Amino acid sequence: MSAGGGGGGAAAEEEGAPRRIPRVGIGGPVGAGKSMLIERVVPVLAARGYRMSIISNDVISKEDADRMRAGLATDQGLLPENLVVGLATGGCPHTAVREDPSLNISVIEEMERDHPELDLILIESGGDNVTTTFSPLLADYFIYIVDVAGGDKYPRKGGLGIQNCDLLVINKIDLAPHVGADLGVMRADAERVRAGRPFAMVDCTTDQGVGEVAGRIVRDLLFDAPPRAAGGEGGGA
Amino acid sequence: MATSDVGGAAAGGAEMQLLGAMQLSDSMFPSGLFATSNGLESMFLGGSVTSADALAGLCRTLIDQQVGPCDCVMAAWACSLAAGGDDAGLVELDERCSALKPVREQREAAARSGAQLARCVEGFAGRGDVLARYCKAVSSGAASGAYPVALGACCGSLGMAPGHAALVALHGFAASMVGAALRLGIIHHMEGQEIIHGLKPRMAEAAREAGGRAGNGEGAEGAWQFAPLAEIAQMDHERMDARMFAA
Repeated sequence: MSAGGGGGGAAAEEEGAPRRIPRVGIGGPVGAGKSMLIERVVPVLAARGYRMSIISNDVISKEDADRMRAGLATDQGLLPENLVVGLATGGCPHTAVREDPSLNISVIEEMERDHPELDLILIESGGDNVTTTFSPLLADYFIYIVDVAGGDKYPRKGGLGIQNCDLLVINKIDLAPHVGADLGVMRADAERVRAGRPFAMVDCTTDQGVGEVAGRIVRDLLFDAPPRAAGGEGGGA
Repeated sequence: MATSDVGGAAAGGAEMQLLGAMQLSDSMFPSGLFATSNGLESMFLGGSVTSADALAGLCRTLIDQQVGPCDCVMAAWACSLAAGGDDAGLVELDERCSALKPVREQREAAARSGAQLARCVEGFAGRGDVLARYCKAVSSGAASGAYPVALGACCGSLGMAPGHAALVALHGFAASMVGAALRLGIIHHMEGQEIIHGLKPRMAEAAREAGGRAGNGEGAEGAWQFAPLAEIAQMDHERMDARMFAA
C-alpha cells in the first residue's frame, strides 16, 4: 500500500477540502494486542512531537476506546479525550474498514476539518481472521498484528493480512516458552511469507520492538517529516 | 420538470433506472447502513422484540409511522428536485428532514450515511451536476447530508423516478433491519427474506403515495413521523455502554 495515496476520489480532490491526514490501519485477531500496541506506540510518537487521534472499531464499541482514552488522554495527557473515538460496527468489523468504510471516513473527515494540526490518525479494527485488509481509501499504511499465543503456525498460514500488510507485528514474544511456540520458526516463516517485506517481533509489556514499529510509521508513512507543531508539513498526504 | 441536469443514466431508459435502483439498494453499497439497527438492538436487549413476528410488526409500524410518511416523502421529493437541478431546494429539504429526526443518534447516523452515499454517487455519476452542488453544500456545512434527501438526490441524478427513490429507501430500511436482526440472533436467514417479502405490499403502497405526491409537485411540507415508543428505544440506545450498532 502506498503511503499517502489511498485513492481519495472526488472527496480528496475537492477544492478547499481539508488536508488528508496520514492514516495507519491496525488490524488483527481479537486478543492479538492491537489496543496495547497503540497504547505503547503513541507515547513514543508523542515524545517525538507528533499529534495523533485514535479511532477504535469494535463489535462492542466502548471497551477498547474507553481504555485507550483513560490511559493515553486522561492519565498521560498525550492527546485530547475527544480524539479517541469508539465506533460500533454492527458486528461487522471487517465491513467497516474494507467493503464499506463510510462510517470511519465520516469520522475522519470531521477530524480533518476540526483538527488540521494532527500528524496521524490511528484506526484500530477488531477483525478476527487472517484475511482482514483495509480499504486503500481509508488507510495509507496497514499494520497487521498476530500474537505468539495463537501458535507459531500463524505467519506460515499466510492470508491477506499477514502477507500484504505494510508491517507485520508478531506480538507477545515473551509468551513463547509458555505456549510452546518457536520464535525461530515464526521468524523464518514470516521472512518467507512476507518475501522481504518488514515484520517486527514485539513484546508490548516491555516495549521490546515498539520503537521499531513507531520508527517504521515515521519513516514509511510520514517520510520522516517532522511534526507539524515543529513546523513540518506532515508526511504522507 | 426539466431533466437536462440529470446524469447519463436517464438516457439509458428503464433498464438503467432499474440498475441504478439495484445498485443503490445493494447491501454492498457503501452507505454505512450495515451499522444501524434503528433502535432494534435496544428493543431486543429490552425484551420487546425477540421474534420474527415481533420484528415484522416493528418493521410494519416503522414503515407506516416513520419511513413511509417521512423518509419516503423526502426521498421522492429530493429526487424531483435533483431532476430539476434545484440544489437550493435540496439544501432546504435537508434541513427539514433533519428537523424531523428528533433522536440525536439517528439524526447523526443518517447524516453520516447520506453524506457518504452522495459523495460516492457523485464520484461516479454526478460530477458537475446538481448532486455535486449538494455535496459541496454538505462539505461546507450548509447541509447535513440527511440520508433520505441524499438518497433522493442520488436517484434523481441517476435519472430515476421519485417513486423508485422511495422504494430504494424502503428496501434499504427493510434490508438493514433484517441484517441487524440476523446479527442479533433474533431470526434466521430464511425468516429474514420472508419478512422482506411480506413487507412488499406495504412498501409498494408507501412508495406509490410518496411518488404521487412528488409527481403532483406537493413538496415535502406534509411529511410527518410519529413513532414514540420506537423513538424512546432509539434514545435508550444512545445510552448503552456496550453495543454492536452505531444507532
